[in-house]
Amino acid sequence: MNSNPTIEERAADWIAQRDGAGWSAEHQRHLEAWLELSTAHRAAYLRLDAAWRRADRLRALRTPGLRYRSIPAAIAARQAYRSGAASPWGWRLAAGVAAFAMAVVLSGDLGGSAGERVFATPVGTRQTAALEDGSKLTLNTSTQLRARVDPGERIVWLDHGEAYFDVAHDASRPFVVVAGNRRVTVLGTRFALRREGDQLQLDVLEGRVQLQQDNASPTLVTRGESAIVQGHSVLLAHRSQRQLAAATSWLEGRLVFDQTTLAQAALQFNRYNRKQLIVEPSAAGIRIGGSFDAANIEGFARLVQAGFGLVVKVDDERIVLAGAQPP
Amino acid sequence: MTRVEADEWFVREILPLEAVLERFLRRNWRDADEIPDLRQEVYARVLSGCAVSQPDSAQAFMLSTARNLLIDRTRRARVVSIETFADMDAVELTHEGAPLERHLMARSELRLLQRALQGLPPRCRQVVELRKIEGLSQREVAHRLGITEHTVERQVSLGVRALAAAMADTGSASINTASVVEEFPGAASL
Repeated sequence: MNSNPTIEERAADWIAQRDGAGWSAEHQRHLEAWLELSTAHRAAYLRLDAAWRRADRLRALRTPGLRYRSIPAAIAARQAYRSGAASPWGWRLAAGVAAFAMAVVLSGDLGGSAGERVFATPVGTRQTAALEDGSKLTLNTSTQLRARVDPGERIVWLDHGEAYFDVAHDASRPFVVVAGNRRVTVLGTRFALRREGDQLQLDVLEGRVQLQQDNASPTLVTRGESAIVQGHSVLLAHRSQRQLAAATSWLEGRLVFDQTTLAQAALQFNRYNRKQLIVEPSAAGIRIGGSFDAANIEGFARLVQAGFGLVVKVDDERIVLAGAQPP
Repeated sequence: MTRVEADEWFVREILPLEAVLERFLRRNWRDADEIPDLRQEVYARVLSGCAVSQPDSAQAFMLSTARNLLIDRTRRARVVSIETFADMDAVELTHEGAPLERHLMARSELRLLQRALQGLPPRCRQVVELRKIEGLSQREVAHRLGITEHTVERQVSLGVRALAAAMADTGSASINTASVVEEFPGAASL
């Protein structure tokens, strides 16, 4: 009848082949060449690929056979610190961050239990840590988390702040992040998690992540999606590559704004700096865009001063931005 | 838009509207066998078109592209006069799915997928379940079922298409299409 069912069949074959064990760089080049041939090829491929990825949600139907212990029990089982946990940590200084102030707290009022390590960053500092299983964590400014990796399970408690997780694949040991009464179980690889007051934001860059609050039924969040949890509500949103890149720009020490009000931008800067940016109502609604060095709050203030003719007052603790005085 | 942006925009804004498009085409085109072909053509045109300038409303852009395609096809058939299309301009193209609807869609998506899964042929369904629910690789699926990887690939290929079709069909339930779709008078007189 016509050639299009054939295009669709070809596109489906490409997806099936691509998911197979024999896929090589050579195959990839052939696929790309085929996609270049016509926009119809590309459209068919994008459509089927999107449908196939949506089907990842079916994972939620899996009978829970996850082998981690119940989280409340793990928290309750606080024990005195055992010296065996004091193995050296492979800290790496993140580029561009001068102050090294992350602490490995071994005991004390945090009540770290057996085999549990505590990581914390002060304001303005970003640090990367490697866990024994090969997973990599990057803590953003003013963040505290605890981690325990043993042969049976991998658990991280995000006490407050924001972290980026690059989780090593290990099907026998799910990677669980606990943030208060919420639990994130990692089925795939890369995501960022931010805990601020009652709100939890999850951005998934790769793979799949399962989000669960108390004993409610879990929500599956897949690549290119964000989940914002507030109270008992979960809001799922699709994100473009650009939006996801902006959400994780802190990994490079950058803050990326797009049509962001000056008031919101100040909140972001204030997470990274001791010196706080105060925006008077007369300037709060100004919208700005661009990529800024998160640590350079004075530079940012100078830029918006020059750009919008704002009045800037600086003292030791604060930078106050106000709208230009009427003549 | 760059090509990557165009692809992303297409996946994010256009593909979720497939049920709206299908319904528009079915209402306005007599030959149901040609619908997959028309849909394919609309998608290709939208994808080429959005690279030139990003449309304000995805749905309006998609439906006006569909309308123009139907007009082109009918003109080529040289059966009906141009006046037949006069009413097409009155088609309401701008009803966008509200953000709330999209979140509702995300929530009901699992149910939708489950239904789509139930419609697959048994062997195909088995393969898709092992891939997507159990999370096995294609090689692991082949081992588990005692079939070749090539057979798994064939079933995956069938499953991908069947799921895409089923999701477009049942997806219509969550989108209010009644207010956007009008009869296309040209179809009846062909």
